[in-house]
Amino acid sequence: MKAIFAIFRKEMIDAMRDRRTLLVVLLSSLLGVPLLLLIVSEVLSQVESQEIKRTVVAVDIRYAPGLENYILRQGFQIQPAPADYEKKLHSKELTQPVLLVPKDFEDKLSHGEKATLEVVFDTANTQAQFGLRPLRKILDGYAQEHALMGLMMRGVSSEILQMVEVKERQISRPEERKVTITGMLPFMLIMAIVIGGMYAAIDTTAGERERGSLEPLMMNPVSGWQLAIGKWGAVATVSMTVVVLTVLSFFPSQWLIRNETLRTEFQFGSREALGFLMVLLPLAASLAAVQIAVALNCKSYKEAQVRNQMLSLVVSMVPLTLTFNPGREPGWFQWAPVLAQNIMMNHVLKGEAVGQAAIAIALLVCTVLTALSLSYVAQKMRRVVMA
Amino acid sequence: MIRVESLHKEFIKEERFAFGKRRRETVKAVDSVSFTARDGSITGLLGANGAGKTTSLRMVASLLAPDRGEITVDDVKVAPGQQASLSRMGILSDARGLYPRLTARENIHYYGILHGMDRAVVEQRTEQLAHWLEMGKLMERRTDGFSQGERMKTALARALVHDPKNIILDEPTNGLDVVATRALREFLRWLRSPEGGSKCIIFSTHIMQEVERLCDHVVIVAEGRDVACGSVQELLTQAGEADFEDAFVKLAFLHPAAPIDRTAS
Repeated sequence: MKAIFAIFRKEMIDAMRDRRTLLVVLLSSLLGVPLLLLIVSEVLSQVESQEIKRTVVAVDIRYAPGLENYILRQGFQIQPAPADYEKKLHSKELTQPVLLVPKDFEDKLSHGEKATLEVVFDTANTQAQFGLRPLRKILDGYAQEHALMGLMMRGVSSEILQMVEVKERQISRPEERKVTITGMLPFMLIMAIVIGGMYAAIDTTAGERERGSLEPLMMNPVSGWQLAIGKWGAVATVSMTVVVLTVLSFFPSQWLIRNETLRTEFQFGSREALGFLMVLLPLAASLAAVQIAVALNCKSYKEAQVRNQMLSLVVSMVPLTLTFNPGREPGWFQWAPVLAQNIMMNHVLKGEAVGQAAIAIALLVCTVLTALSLSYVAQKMRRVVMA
Repeated sequence: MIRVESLHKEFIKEERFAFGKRRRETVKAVDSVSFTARDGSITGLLGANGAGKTTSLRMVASLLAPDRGEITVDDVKVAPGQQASLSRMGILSDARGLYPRLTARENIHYYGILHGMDRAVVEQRTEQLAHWLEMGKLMERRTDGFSQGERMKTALARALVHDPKNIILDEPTNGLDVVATRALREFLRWLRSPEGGSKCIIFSTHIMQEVERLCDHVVIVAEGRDVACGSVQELLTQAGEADFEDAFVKLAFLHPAAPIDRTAS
């Protein structure tokens, strides 16, 4: 026990003094979520502001008085487009698509000929892209109105065009919050865990071997289990610290959200934080054990890094399973590490209670995973040096 | 006391040339090495590079499992990976392997605690070793920027923190300057003396001078075998040479016609 604690203490000191690695780990875990939420909130605000901007930028609107009238009736204002609108769209100075009206527009329309309107936009100009949908809606509306007028003049009821009516009915429970963008968060958290523990795990195994300090260490009367548990304890502590910090970073992140829609969607209180910690801490501890096991018989830091990155890749791919069958959750999902945690976090974000059985199963899976990895490490620890 | 009897170790070297093509080659690293190192005496394992010194010492340190043969340390049989014999030995391996982010003191303490010593005892012992090895100012510095000599001192103090009866040093003078080498030599002599604890010291080297100046007993190892042993004087007589280097070359590379007499040790 004393030896285990001594190993744990030394590994902790070692990890804490590795400033650069520590800094990278902390920054990535602390800044990831606030940054993501900030970006998402900005983008959402832009989309929404386009929808309420209520202006149309047009060239030569005077050739289409009917359309002008329609647009004004919809409560939109019309701005004349600058002469060099193409350039300005490229340089993103202009944040709206531009409507081009041909000279003979009204003429053609009144003669019952097909008239063409042009909408100019640049796919690289994201903001102008958002304005495309509202503009199209207006133009479609005008086209429909014009068509209906034509039909009415010919004595056909406009009802014929709308024989089928579609009504939407919302049946989701009120406490079930919408989760769209925040669905990214579990993924971010799991990545933070994987990155957080990786460097510490490599340093205690392959790093120590590369520096040549593993061999002298084996000349001490300590067993493989003592080494495995001591080292795992340190790496798991680092990983779990990263989890706690990342979850805590959610709170200040909320202040950064300036978008109302996102704010109502993302309600993160102490109840949610506790739920996240309960789900993530066991996962962090068991992933730490797996990372040590993966790095154990590598001869160099670099080799261990490659292998661990492969592990990270696999772990980050797992939640993709969810996108293949969205909404459905077969029973075996509960038994799959990472996937189970992902689902539980989504439940927490939706404001639903996570079942005790699900938590118990996840805990069991994590414990088994940890035990397996550690026993492998304990068996292999001494033999690694002998090879 | 350390007794080594007919130690054997083979390595299988596997070379891959192309897909599926493999060549396996067995390398006999140690091919029957036997020697005895007594308490209160310094035993030198002398041999050219690749003669099998380090492999033999690694087996004694139970870092490597011998294919055949027996090692006993103070009448305790050494089994690979087993820890009972480790507490009786202090080993300075070829790889010094200090922790760069820990100070010299922390490096030494860590091993003391791992040897199951009490904190107070470890601290007292560390002070003692720091005094003997004259490393006062070094103790609170991180070992990151240490010179070879400072590294060796720290690693040696770390290996001796549990006051082992048997000390094994693998090429301890590698990379050391004259002053550091002399200091080390003095320290080893003191460890051998009754005041120093009459330790049983084994060290491996390929430097003749070291052996001449320090060793009470010399074992010459060549091609994985112990080809001659005795005091420096005995070896000179056996080879019929006045110069120790000449004697070494003769004994190590021009194999004697007569079978080796191992009972002499």
